[in-house]
Amino acid sequence: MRLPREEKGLWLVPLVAVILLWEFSAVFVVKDPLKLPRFSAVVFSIYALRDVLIADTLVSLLHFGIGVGLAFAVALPLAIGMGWSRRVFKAVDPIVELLRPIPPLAWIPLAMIWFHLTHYAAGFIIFIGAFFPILIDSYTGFRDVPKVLVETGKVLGCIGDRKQIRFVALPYALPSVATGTRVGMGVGWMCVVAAEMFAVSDYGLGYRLFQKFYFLHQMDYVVAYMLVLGLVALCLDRLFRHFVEERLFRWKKGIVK
Amino acid sequence: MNHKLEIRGVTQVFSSEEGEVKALEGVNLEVRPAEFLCIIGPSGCGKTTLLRMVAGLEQPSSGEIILDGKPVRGPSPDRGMVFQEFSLFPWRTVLRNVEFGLEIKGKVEGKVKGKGGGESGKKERREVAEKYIELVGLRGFERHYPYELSGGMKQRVAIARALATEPAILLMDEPFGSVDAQTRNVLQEELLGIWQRTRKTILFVTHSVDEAVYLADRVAVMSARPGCFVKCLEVDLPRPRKRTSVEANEFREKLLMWLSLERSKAACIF
Amino acid sequence: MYKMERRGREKRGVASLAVVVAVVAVAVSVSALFAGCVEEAEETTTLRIGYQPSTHQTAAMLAAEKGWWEEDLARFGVGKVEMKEFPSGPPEMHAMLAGDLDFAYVGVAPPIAAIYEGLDAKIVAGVQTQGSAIVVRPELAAEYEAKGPQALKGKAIATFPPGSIQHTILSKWLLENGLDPEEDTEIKEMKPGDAATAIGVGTVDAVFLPSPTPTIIAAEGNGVVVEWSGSMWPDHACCCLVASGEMIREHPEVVKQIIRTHIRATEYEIEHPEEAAEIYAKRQGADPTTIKQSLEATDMHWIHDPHLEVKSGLEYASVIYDLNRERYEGKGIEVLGEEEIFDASFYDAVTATEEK
Repeated sequence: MRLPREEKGLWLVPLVAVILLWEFSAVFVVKDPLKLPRFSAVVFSIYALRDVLIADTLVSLLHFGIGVGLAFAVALPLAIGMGWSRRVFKAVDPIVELLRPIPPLAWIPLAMIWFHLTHYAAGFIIFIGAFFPILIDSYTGFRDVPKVLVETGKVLGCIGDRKQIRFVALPYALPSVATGTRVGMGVGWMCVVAAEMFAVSDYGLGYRLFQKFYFLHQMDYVVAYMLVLGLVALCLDRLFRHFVEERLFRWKKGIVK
Repeated sequence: MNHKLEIRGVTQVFSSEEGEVKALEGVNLEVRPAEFLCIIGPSGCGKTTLLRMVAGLEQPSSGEIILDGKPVRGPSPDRGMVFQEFSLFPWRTVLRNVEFGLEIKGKVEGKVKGKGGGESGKKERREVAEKYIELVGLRGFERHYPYELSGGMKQRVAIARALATEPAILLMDEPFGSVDAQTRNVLQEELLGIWQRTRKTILFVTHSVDEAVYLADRVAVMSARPGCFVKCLEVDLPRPRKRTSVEANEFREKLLMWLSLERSKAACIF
Repeated sequence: MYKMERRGREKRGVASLAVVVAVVAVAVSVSALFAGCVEEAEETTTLRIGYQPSTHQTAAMLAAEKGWWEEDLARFGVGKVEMKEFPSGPPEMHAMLAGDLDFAYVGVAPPIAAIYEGLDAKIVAGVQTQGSAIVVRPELAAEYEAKGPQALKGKAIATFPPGSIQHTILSKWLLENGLDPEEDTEIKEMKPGDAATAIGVGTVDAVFLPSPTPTIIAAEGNGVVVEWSGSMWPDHACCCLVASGEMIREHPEVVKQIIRTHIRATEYEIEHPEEAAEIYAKRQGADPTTIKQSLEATDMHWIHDPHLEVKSGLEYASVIYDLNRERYEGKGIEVLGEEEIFDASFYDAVTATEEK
């Protein structure tokens, strides 16, 4: 990404300001390490926890991978069906819209019974979070394929749903699928704490935050893990944008301009 | 003489909120090989519908359309088409756009004969595509994406793409309607050059009389809805034509007169 | 070019202003939040007592059902007594840390863990000792008969979270029997309801929880009680009554009355266990017969004297310290002593005046 010179590093200014404000308030205003742990204490905690932090992050990423991978695998074919065929859409959409507003947290009791205390139970909660954004953005992409492109495909020999989807609809919809996946990833990661609340494993960022640090009132550790949760999400998002969207969006930039 | 394309007794009826509407009735036309035939007519007369039926994108309610002795049943690269709207695949480069029809053909043939893909197939496709890109004057732009091209360039790529599959007939639906007047004139000249070099049969729909006079060997005038042909005028001006010559003006006037004929007073020909 | 620059500068000006407004709004609301917290704690017309759904703490529920709390505290200006239920000790202590509880019926370990992290409170009375049990799935009962604690090697055991009595007792007992709680067993933290379900569907192999859960699980046929906590750690303190520092310093008379009412409820339940069981069952929506069975089967003793809990309390303090050694040493925190955990002065004052 090429930024004009004044904008490079612009983000550092508010960030440093917030950090300074935080440290100042913690030390001189709130003065209660339980209500507001110091920024320096939090940073030190990350260092103190570094061993278990890595294991926790990897396990959370495992849950995340299971959830998002499954969500993508289920959502994409369904999105193709719903986007391509009005009938399929009309038939399936009411069910989708009924299930969509149910918060992932509400699925926990069922997940515990279906999947017991395994990584799959956690993955399932993340699946619920990631599934709907991926589905909706993807089927919108398929639905929006311009008629003229489909007809162009037809007159060039692209006959039949399969070929049309493969050569025309899918490439057209790919940026929407990517956007949906990125949003889904964001929502899915937010479910990590909920997914890991119930001791599905001995490791996990959400698990340790909720079952260990919270119960022992170790607020500086809690905030440290909150920061880690945010940082990992940021990294995932940026990596995805760089490797996937930069490639796929080259041509879309031209359309949206 | 064997006609390239025959349209016989085509009628198109569709249902709408107002009940049944007849878009076309008793349409007849014969197109000669390598001829440049323009169809003109008032807005809504059904000329685009007719062209889409030749392309196979729509079906007539009755009548038939026969190309090279075989009836038209559905779309096929045999009948290339250029649309009025920009129709390039935005995710593909110019080269990959022009290759599209060949790629599909390769896949189909590959399934049938067990070949068509592979390195040799790719190389052939590339060469054919490059040939047509050069034909439309866009050499050097193979790796560009559609969003980087002007309107005129986009339509040129569309023409190259339609020609790459070496169709029996090229169908064009107001292809220069979306570009400015100057570009339009340039494209018309280039199209004539391409036509002369490839000897394709071209069926060209437009509502611009000027365009028809400049381009066509023959102009078929369609009546208002329900559309049918009321006149087929031979434009025997020598090429290259002058847009503003006296003879051209005469043809223009004749066509305008036929265009303005009321439906009730017109008789369908053929 | 110049006009565009000016427009660009305008846009940036507006955007920066918007950001500053947002930040100020956040800062103001946050400080209002903290300020509010400080003010609210002054109120005493509503008293908040925390407790857990365990027969260990029947005294609290009995006094609530009979209206004794409000009755006895009315003369101190207490208009309302709110009973707040918590699934286990740690969240209850978290609420107390936030200033949301004045008194708490809770295991002895959670407040100790909280005091290490700065909780301003003391244990002022005892509630009961022992009374938890290990329940194993029926198929494992025979194995336990034969091998004893070793039968738990490699098994999943559900219990309360770290920092709780159960977790502490279980860890200590496993260590004493040559099993490493981290390596040789899988300890899973969960609430009693979840644990009962988990052992029922086979997700865990055993649970170690306070009454009445063990008896309920056995009654449902999902497990067999193999070990009571009294045999794992004799006379270990279990539940106690905690008073917030603020109550202790600013409302000592209320503290004394709470203790008096607690003694009254405890002696009543000891004398009328059937009625106590019924009150518990009705309040918690459990089956009265099962609760009565649990009271008969359990090895717990209802008490009110905090002195009886000091010894095991100090042991918990030491175990919890070991569990978090790195953190505490890093912060210069030392093992808690009796004065930092217990304040038996109120109890002594109350019982002295009531001595016959």
